[in-house]
Amino acid sequence: MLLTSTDTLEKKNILHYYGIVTGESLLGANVYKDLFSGIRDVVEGNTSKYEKELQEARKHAVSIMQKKAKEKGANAIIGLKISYDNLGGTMGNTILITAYGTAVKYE
Amino acid sequence: MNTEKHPKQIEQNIKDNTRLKILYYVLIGTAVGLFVYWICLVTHFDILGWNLGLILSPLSAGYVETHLARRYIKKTTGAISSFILFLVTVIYGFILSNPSLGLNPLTLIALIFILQSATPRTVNYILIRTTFIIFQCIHSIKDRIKESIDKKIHKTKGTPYVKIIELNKNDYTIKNNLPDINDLGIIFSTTNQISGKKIVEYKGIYESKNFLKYDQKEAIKYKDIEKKGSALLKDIEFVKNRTLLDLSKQLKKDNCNGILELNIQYDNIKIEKTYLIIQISIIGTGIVYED
Repeated sequence: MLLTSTDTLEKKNILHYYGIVTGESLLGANVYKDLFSGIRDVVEGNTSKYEKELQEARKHAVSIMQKKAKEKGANAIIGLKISYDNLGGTMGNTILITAYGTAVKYE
Repeated sequence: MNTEKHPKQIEQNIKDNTRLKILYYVLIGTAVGLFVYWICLVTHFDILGWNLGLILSPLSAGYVETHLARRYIKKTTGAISSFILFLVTVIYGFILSNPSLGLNPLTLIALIFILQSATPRTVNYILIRTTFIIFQCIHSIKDRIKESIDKKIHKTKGTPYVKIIELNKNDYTIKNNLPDINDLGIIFSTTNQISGKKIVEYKGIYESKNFLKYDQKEAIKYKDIEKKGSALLKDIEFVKNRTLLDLSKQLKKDNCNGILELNIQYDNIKIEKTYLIIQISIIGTGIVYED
């Protein structure tokens, strides 16, 4: 499935617009895990566990969105947007990752 | 001749023996309870016309029975004698001895006490549940009053009233009944154009927003982090779909058949100790295109 943040597909003919498709995922509800993740960053200096989990969460949101588009019969998602919102609260630094775009079918 | 008993037979004998012992303890408990009731009746041990034997006799019966069972067979028997005494005292005290006794608050309270003595666990459970239901009703009435006052204040000020969505278990059934937003005859698009379609008219900016009140106490109840997260996600998705549905109503009202540059925004607008309020706003440009 083709994913693009552009509004059109150059040299491609869009046959049908299926409408908006969304995918959401949450990250960082575990305060203790985040705490130890921070310590590891300082000690090892490698890519943080948190960053990896952020990537995983984004992938998850995108895959949910793709699944929804596929179920509609689309073969591309255009005008793709991904946003990260901190929900905060006593749940810890909970981040909501949202992926949404327009499901289309192109030739 | 083989006098050795089969292990299963020995086990059965032990069981029979224990059952017999339980029967003795129940009988002893009942006898003690009846004796206490008799003493209370003879001595007129009353408060405001209520014989305290109604409470003391099931209590003493249950106590004696449980004490004996714990001491000799190392387990409880469920205070059967207490229940027997409850039946005896109610039948005697309410039907045979005093049939004219009417239903009044005192009778009800006494009945609860008697029942509590006879079946403490069940009655305690019912009492706690009833208290919760009463509190929930008070809370619900308070919310409705607050809502109507808020509506009136907003009406006086001329500002729009926005209801905060509080999800409960019932909403999950509503959730399943929400229509697919893309089946309403309106194109929802994040792009700035619809390829191959001619836009006839731009109707302007359309916005819809809803607020989700999320009870963090409820979330903390989940020991599993995954469950906690998924519950919040479900709520967010539901409110988002509802916001899109509200937006579609606005668009339909103005005869739009599409909305472009759709933007979904989530903002945490209030964090309290027990809850947080998430604002879900969706904004876009309403259009009319040639189909």
